[in-house]
Amino acid sequence: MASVSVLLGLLVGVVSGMLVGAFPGLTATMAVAVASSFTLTLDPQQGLAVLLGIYIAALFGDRVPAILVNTPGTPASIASTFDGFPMAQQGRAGVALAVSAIGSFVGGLVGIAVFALAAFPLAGFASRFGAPEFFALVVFGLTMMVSVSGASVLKGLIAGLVGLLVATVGLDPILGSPRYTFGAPPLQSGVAFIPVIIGLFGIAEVLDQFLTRGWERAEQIVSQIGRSFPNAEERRRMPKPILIGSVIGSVIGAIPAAGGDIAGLISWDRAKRMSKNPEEFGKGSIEGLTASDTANNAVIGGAMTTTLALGIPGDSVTAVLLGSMLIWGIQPGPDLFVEDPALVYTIVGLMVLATVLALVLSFVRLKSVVKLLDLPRPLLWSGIVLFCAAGTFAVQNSLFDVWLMFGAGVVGLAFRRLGFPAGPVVLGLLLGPLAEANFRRTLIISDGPLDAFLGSPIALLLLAFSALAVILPILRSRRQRSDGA
Amino acid sequence: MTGRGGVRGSARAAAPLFVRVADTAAAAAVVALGVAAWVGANGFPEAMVEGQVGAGFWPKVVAALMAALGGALLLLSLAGRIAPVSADPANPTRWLPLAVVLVVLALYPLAWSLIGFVPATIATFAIVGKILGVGNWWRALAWAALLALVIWGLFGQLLQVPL
Repeated sequence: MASVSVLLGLLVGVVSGMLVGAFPGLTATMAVAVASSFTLTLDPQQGLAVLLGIYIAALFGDRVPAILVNTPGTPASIASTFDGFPMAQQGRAGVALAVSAIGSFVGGLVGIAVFALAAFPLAGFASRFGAPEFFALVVFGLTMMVSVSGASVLKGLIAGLVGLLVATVGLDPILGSPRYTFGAPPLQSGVAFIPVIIGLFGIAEVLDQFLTRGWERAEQIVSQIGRSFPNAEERRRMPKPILIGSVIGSVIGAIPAAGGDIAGLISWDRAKRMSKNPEEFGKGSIEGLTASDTANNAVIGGAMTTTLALGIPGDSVTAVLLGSMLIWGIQPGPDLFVEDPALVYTIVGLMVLATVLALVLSFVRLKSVVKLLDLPRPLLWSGIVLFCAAGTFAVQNSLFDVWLMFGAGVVGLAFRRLGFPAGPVVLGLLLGPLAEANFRRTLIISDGPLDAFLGSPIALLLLAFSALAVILPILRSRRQRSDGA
Repeated sequence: MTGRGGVRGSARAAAPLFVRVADTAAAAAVVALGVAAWVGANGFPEAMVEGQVGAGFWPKVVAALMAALGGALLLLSLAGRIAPVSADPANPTRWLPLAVVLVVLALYPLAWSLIGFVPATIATFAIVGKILGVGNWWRALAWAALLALVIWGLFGQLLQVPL
């Protein structure tokens, strides 16, 4: 694991992730999706090092614009703006950046510890799953993503079904007959995952920004960093919010599709309720900043746990990671822990190293990063589009994939404008084959699907949770409507 | 506004007509996609072994659900019971430039296959950059050339991707 090429890949990933996180408009999902296209040519361990490095470091780097420009670098750092930017305005930007880095570091390590401790038992439990249970798990993952996406539940479900339908394109897995290929040879092997995700999250984001944002530079960048390390009094106020953020982040990370943004917000809110100085929150509270940034890094461990142990992505970034692993021939799920446990330990090691590297880089002088934030958006936009196109082409050396990417970008833009979330599409595309295979298997082994699901308590429980995930938001919004009427 | 429309009814009424029409059209498109997918799946082969299902079974399940949920969305949309999206408002002057950008990008892979990566990229991204707001034509051309060179170096030379 400690080969030079793997460590170099990790360094490249961490540096790239820090830069990506620092740029508003560049998300970790986009970066991992584009990077996955050219890491496919690398050895799996080296490729994983790059992707994990980006994933972890992006959640360190995203605090920079949140604190200096009041703009989250990634959605996970939304809560960082609540107290980070006020601290910067008070001349405490350096302290804010340091506190955030320390919280992110500890939260990341706690999350990784949870992953290391929980993944094997969870995989052991999931190894008893049969076809009905796996099908129910996929349904659970999809409905959870719809439930937490924040969009209309109906639109979220439709988005998931779009992904499931696109996943049927190609050859039937049992009969080998073409489905929805329209005679096009590139579609015989199905719709490639990487171009679709780059289009949905990369191209669509750029197009949407062009439609909705101005061309001006960031309005206000705090460039005076000030003192760069918390003093003794400030350090004394950090342990409690770190603990709060670690627990909340680890738990939320394990819920499919619930990511750093939700964890950061919940953690900030909980820390405020448990603080002796709640009036400081939102005005430059070290506790608020620490809690949110600890949580948004702690989710990584939980997300990786469900991704590797169950084969269900914990968030959109792990969805891309999962897709890359499949292309490398690594099948996440319970069998991975039996057939190749060394790989799991390798992943844990890479994540720890990435977290340490990201902490070190976090304390590098920031003036050059501040200058980068000043880059005009149009330059960034055209650069991202070209990078996406080249990265997509690199997957299979196929220009058809580039067209597919642009097509997915247009669809992604339409989805954004019309309120359909993109996350369920990706999950449907990724998990569709798994859902179909297990559903068909369930029909074969049982007298009917109802018997199979009724005979499995685990499947019933998962389906019940899935139903709740759909029904509760509808009931909640109806109650809000009647309260407001 | 109160009554059956409730708060959402007033939110829907407040949205621009274009957004409301687009919202309803999207719902109709989902229904149409579901129906088309069902019809298409009718032609897929049946199972050859008793007890198994054919190639069209799963796509039909998905298509049926899509048509049903799309229908529900359409009815709710027409009845004013679901609010349109709350995305950041689009700058109306950007739609036409965006359409031009999309047409140019759609032609990019074709140009790439005909004249090669570097010339196609410089030409395409000079136009795209100009429209996106990079600056005057010289600046757009310079930026496109720089991008093409960087990508060619990174992907073509370093990663050995046959651009």
